[in-house]
Amino acid sequence: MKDNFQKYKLEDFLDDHDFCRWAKSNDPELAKHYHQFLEKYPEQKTTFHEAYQIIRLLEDEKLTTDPRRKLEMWKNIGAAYNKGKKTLTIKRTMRYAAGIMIVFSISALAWYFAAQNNSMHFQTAYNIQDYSQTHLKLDDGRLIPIDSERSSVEYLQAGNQIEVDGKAISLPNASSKTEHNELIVPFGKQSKVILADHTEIWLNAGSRLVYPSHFEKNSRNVQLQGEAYFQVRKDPLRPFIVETANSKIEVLGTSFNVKAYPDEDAEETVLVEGVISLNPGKKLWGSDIIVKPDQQVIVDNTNDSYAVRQVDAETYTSWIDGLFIFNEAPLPRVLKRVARFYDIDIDWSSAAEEKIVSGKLDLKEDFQRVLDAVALISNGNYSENDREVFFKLKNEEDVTK
Amino acid sequence: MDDNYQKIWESFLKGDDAALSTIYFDFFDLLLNFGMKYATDRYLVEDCIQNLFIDLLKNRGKQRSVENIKFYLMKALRNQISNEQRKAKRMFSTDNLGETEFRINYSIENRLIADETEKIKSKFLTMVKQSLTSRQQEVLYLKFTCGFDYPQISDLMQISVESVRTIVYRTLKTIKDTFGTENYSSLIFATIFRSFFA
Repeated sequence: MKDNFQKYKLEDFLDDHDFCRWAKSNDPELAKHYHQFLEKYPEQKTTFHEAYQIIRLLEDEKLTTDPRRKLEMWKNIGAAYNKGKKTLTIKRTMRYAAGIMIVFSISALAWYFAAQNNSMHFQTAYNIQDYSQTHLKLDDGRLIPIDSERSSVEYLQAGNQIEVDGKAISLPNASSKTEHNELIVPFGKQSKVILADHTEIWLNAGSRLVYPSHFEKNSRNVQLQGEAYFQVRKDPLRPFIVETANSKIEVLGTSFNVKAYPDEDAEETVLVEGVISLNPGKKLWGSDIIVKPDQQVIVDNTNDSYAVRQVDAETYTSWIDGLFIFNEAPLPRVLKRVARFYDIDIDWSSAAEEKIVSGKLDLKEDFQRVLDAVALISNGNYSENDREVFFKLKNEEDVTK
Repeated sequence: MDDNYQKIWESFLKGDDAALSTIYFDFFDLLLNFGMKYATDRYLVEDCIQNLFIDLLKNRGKQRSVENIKFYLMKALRNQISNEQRKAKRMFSTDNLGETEFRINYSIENRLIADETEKIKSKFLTMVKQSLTSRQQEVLYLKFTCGFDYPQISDLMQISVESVRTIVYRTLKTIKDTFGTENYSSLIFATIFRSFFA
């Protein structure tokens, strides 16, 4: 503010850049400053207020844009840039089809919102192997151990209470900021969580899920490490986004299974019903794969390449009912899964590496019974010592003898 | 806040596409509202915004840091719109199509007005708009609504700083006169802003 403030006329106030900026912004610090001037020169009060009012009057009418539409245009930008062309006029007609295409166009939005919420990440400071029990981590730092083998966690809609295996736990008072919770399910355990929006998620052994105790207005983001089956509550205004180490999956309401263990070479997503779009490698302008029911997307973690194949989706979700169905699967895959589920160590011979098996295991049995079954279908056998298992094929033994 | 965008801009220049998307999403509505003052067709403005960002990506290597990102983007959009309008003009070879005529709607004009003070305020604005030329309205908008300074306005409107000063002076005079004639001041501002400065 200029020194000759006491002589300011209406037009001088209006012409004063700092004054205008303050009148528009209402910065309380500056308000104090102007307040002091007015104390000193009370005769300026009327003119000052008039100038303030006039500036406030010059607020223009504000148009806003639907975030989805913004996103769609952002995708146009990416596409045009990648093509190296500048041909947007044709896109005009396509806009009308945009409503239907919402599902297809989301990974950038997911990316955008994830960038906004970058606080939501796994704390790498601790390792899932360090846990022998399922743990629920609340944002206020409380770490709640859960005893049961197959636990359940439910977030009540009011947002200030959860039920763990039917027992109520109150959450800290809902603050304006979104709280991030984490469910840690070690090897040998499973858990089912119902989020505040009624989305149901089954977590398989050796998995972690990060999610907010209540979702924000425009998106629902969760992060997964490990395997989970999702039954997402439909909410067209808030896309549900699952982020793994190497995929971004966007849904509006559907059921699907995601397997993304850090110690495996690939991530696998299988859709049971509905539609999801998946961005392999989480590329900003990567094209999304649209996944249909009974399709499986396998994303290679090393080079982001992917493959889509037709599968029987039920095979991939049977674990939530305590069954493990596999159809022409490599034996190591089956053994890994059994090891994870029972929290045991399984190693196998190089001959077993190549074996392809089909079958159905009841994971409610103890692990010896299950391994007996695996041995039967693969024509193999195993030795076990204090939960350490070595698996080989029968004809192999013959060779060594 | 501005510092923050400065950093984001820098990381965009260094090759981070994600940084540009932050700028895009945060500035989109601002640019749209700005653009709509110069064109009536919303789709045209949206296309221009998209082209603006495509150009930013294409010319990333040639760009350097900018002092004020908001101003930089607005100016670039203004140029995009003028170019499009010139093109349209050539294509249809008529004179009155796509003219960069400045247009603004103030929020109070479109509000449902319940109380008497608001009505008077709205009438005051209508009076002001009627007695201002399109250029004067533009200056008024750039100066008060956008908060740009003289050199920026001069840059945007492609006129000298002196001309801006003159237009501002005339504009302010008109406002003051309008304010005086109908004795708006006492009507409008009698009871206001006690609370703010209490």
